Amino acid sequence: MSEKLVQIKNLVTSIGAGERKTHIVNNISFDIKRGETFVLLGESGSGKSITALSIMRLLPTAIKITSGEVLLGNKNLFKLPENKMRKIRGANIGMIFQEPQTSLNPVLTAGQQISETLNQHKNLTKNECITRCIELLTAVGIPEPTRRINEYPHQFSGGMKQRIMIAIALAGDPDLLIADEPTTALDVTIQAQVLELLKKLQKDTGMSILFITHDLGVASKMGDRIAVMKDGEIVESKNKNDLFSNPEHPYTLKLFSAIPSWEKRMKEGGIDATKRHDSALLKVENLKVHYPIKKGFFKRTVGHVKAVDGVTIDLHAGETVAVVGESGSGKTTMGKGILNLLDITSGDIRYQKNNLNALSSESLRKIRADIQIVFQDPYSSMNPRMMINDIIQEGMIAQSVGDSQKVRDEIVVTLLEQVGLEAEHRYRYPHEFSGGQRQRICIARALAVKPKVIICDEPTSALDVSVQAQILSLLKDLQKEHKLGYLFITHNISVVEYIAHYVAVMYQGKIVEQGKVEEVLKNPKNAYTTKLLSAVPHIEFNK
Amino acid sequence: MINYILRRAAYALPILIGVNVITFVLFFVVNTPDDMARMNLGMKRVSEAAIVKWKDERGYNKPILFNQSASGTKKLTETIFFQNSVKLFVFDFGRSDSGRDIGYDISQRMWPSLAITVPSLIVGLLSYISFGLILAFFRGSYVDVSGVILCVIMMSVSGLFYIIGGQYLIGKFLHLVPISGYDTGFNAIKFVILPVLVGLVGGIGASTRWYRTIFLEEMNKDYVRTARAKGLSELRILYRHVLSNGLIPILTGVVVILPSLFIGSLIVESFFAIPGLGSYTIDAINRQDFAIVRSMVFLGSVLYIIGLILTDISYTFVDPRVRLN
Amino acid sequence: MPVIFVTDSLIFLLLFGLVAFFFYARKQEHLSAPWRDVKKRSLAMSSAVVLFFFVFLGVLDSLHFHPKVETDKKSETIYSNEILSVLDILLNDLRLKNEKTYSAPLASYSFSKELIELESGKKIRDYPRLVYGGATLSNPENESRADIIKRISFGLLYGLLISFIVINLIIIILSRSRNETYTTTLHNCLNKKTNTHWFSIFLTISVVLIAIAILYNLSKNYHVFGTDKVGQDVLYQALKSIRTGLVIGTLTTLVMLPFAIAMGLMAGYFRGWVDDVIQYLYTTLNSIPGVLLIAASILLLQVYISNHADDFNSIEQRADLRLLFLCIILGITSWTGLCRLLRAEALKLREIDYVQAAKAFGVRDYKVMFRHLLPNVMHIVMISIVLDFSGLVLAEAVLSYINIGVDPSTYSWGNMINSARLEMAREPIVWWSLSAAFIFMFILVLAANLFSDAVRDAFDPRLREL
Repeated sequence: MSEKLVQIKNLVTSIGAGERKTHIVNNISFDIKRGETFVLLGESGSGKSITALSIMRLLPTAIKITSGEVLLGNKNLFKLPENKMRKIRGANIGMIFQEPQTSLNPVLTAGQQISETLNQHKNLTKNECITRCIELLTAVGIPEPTRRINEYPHQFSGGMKQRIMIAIALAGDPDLLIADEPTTALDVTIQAQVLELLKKLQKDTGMSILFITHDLGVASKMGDRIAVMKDGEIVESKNKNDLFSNPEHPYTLKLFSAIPSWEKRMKEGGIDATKRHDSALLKVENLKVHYPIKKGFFKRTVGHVKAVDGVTIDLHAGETVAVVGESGSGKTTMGKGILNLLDITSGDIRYQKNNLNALSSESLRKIRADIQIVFQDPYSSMNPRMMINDIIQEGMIAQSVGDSQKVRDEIVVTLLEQVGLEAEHRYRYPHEFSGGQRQRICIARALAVKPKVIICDEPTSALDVSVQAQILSLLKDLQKEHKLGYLFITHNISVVEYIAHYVAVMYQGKIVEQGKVEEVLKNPKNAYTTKLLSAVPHIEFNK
Repeated sequence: MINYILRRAAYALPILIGVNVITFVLFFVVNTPDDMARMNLGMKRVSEAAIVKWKDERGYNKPILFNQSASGTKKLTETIFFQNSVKLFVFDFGRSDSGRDIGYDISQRMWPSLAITVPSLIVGLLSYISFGLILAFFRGSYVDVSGVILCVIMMSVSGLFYIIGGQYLIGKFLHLVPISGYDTGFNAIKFVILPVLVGLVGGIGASTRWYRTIFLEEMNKDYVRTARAKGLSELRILYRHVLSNGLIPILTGVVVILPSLFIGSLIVESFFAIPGLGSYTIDAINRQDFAIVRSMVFLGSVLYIIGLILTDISYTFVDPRVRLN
Repeated sequence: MPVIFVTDSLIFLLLFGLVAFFFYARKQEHLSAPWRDVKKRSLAMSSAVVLFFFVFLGVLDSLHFHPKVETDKKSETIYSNEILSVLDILLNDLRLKNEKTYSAPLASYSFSKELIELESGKKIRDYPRLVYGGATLSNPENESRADIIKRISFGLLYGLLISFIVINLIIIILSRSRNETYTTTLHNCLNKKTNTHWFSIFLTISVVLIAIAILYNLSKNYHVFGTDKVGQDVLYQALKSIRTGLVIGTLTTLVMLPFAIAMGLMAGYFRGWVDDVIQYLYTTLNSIPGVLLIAASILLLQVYISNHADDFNSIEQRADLRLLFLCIILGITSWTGLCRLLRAEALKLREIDYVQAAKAFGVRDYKVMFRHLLPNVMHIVMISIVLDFSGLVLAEAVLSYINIGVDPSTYSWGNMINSARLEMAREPIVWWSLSAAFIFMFILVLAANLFSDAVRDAFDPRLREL
């Protein structure tokens, strides 16, 4: 069947009025056929989410549909009065969102929330309703549905919450399911399951899916046809095989080339694992971070949450050791524990022969200059009330780098230029910069105290793919120039492929496998590693 | 749950002791028992013997905090502080300085206080939540804007104005209900109407605005967007989703003040001549009757701590996330 | 010879601090940007103008001195024991024109009947003429209405004239500083195209000046709000009460701010035993009903004063000390609210990445708190200050009612209401004291509420891009 289900024609949405009106979606047109998955691919700010919300007419109050039409069959959705549109929402078109944690009402049970859709659009008796709910929960793969139908959202994991969202959306038997980055917030292994589920449901019900994502691997896995969006416009729209075998638009090309991968690494001059003849800069032995669980009147410790459970790892100068794991694996806790930003339960952390645990707080302060950290969230890693100049100098002052204000100012200028910014940026405030630029400033801040080791805690996870490529490239260059050692924490295997020499796979607080990147990624020995690697969506297409 | 309550009650002990210490310090740093005796006995020239007798009767003949002349632990226990405080913890309030049984007085006077505060709370909650919901539903429209302005204006008027104005209006013009005083049993109803009404009008401004803000915050959350995507009407979203989540902060705010309902509003009781615990306390302060004051302070603190505990417990009832952990 | 009360010096200290903060904030982007937002809002600017007038009157009332006594001897200058303020001098007429007892607003006759002796020698009970009210009229029943209308109209005209002059002065200054022509600035202001909402400022200034002019003109011949039981002009009382209201609203905050900030931040940042101690402190303090604490403290003060009566020079000094003490006590009972808010915020902030980064640099704790925590909680502090102001002003009235407020000899709205209330049973009712107090309180509190709303909206970080 290739009959057109939905046609979007010349959609324009904008924000602001009069002189300050800006188009968020700038005249896009596409159509979705029955039974197909149409992917809107783009980075943040491309307007893909707003397009989806426009179809549903669920835009936030500040954003308005300026012109265009959306035809469902032959009905123009934009011309419908609100009460008729409500009959379409949930019944003909269903939608699932990105954040399963907050998208479900915390005080209603799963069953109640699914029944709401059923009661709104279908005429069922109470018992029929319950039966249908259980059917839906089974269809989306929730085990023990009869029991779990009465449970609250917080009793389900992230992946399961998203399945419930899918069940709610399916309850109305929609012709079109709009999925707005449904797996972006989920772990890789869970993501694979949810994507499988969506494909199966599509085959079973014959519905169309409008799938929105920024991940090319996911796009290639799910999409029959893909449209690439940039700045509110569709720059290229082809079916999957054509797009991946023959991308034409410069933006698409740029997007493809930005993806980190082994091939890209080889192309840029493969960084071989350095011969580890020096003694290790950083040697972590049997690190444990346990949190006690206290119960009872006297708050006795009945057990422990073992966030980090015996981790041993080495880092040498000039190399990148990647620590890979999903959420809850303990990788961030390990990073903070090494820096003494939280208390560790036991273990040795040696930096150049000094056991960091045994040091007095004064001596530890002095060593802090050598081990620095770059955080994940570029928005919360800098004090919004401080100028860039002061932010970068704060560490210098604390570590007595640079004897006078003048010397320090000069260092700041050099650093900013090193990370690709300009000298005059130092008089600006963080909110004036983009995410990628902020990360560069954070790197400059870390470099200011001349560290030997930098712990990178998911530094590019919150950035767009093209920006990520730039930051990774910058990190690589800096490593070469200053012989820095990176402890690179990430959940993204492609990044590991691209930047790391050694990799350690963490699962539930333990390192299940570690070694040279080529060996671990090509020949994984541990079952979890294999599962992790196979879950990563790679770009697949037929030429 | 029981463990939790017990632990909180144990934590309350040092607080109550601290409260007692402060009350003592405030009173006795300034007033020696001799002064108190003189004031109570009232006459211009009071003989030493009369003072000593007065103090003896009430146990004020001992040192305040520390008894040098006693031995061992009696150094601490044979003091006014210890003697007075210990009894409080078993809720034996003793006698007031004018000789009445405080415990009895409290048990009599708490009913009038409750007769005013409980209806005020219920009527207030129902009205303010409804108004807040209405304003949130019509957000941005003229109804909302004028509603908010009205709230600000009403908030800016002194509560005294509502009380005095209300009494004047009813007293001079409408003659619907009596403007002050109290009676027992069902007759109390007509005395209660005006204070409750005045309290309602006086609190509309601030409460409606606060509830409106809470509801608006909930309306901006993700799960409301999901509900809209299901095709639900705004009205249904409001009362099924927004209200049920908004009630969490609202109810917990209400529960905190529940215990203090016993004490009543000191002001309202004074103006409307309600013989409740609030006016009891005010009178005691004016008469410098220390025994009553320390009892009421202690009672107030106990009720406050109970309020804190109840707040935590109420979380478990309204918020399933807390309940099932 | 100047006299400086303790509260006076604190007021000027506060003003100084505000000006200094103003200059500091201009340089800080994160502080000046929200204020620019506030300046755009019409209601906020109108309220600011009204507040400014109140503050101006309050400041005038805080410059105290002993007036010179007129003597023949040129060599000595003798000062009377009386203490006056600059405001008293401005309102000299109102202050001195006292009647015998109650009189209604704009009346020419006293409120209560007296035994009057007519020229014929006969004695009747009738309403006597007032000494000052309607003094220029020979036949008040017929003439007073026309006279009042005449005075109001002239007042309106004078007010318009003065407003016109003042506004033009402002426009000229503005146009000079912006290097524009007069017409451009005028045009921009009237069309609301300026960054600061000058239009509403001008409007409010005109309204206030017209009101002042009308009141002034009427006061020359009448008691605009009548007189109270001892014949004192009620308008005078209401104006003198402004200072009391302002002092309570601001000094209390001054007292409690350092405590609340220090304790709140320390509790949230250090956690552990520091947190436990501070939580214990504020739970204990909070569980004592505030009224009791205030009552006990006032009693304490009264006893202290009566025991050390010789230390004080005058009734005014004693009253002033009581006012100061009331502020301190109110501050002590109210710091817990802000402390709790700041503690919660500090708990959140200490986990935030840039604080962690500072710790990773080895920056010392007090510096972290000062540089990272404090500026990021200032919005809560500012909202709290402005919010508490109106609450405190209203609270003063209530406290005076139950006799634990300011000294009965201090002019305050609470005292006005209190004394009026005791007379409410009188037939016909004396309503003007109550009304004057309520009206003035309402205007001040409404202006403060509207202004604080704008401040809160502007400083809420969720609504800003920061």
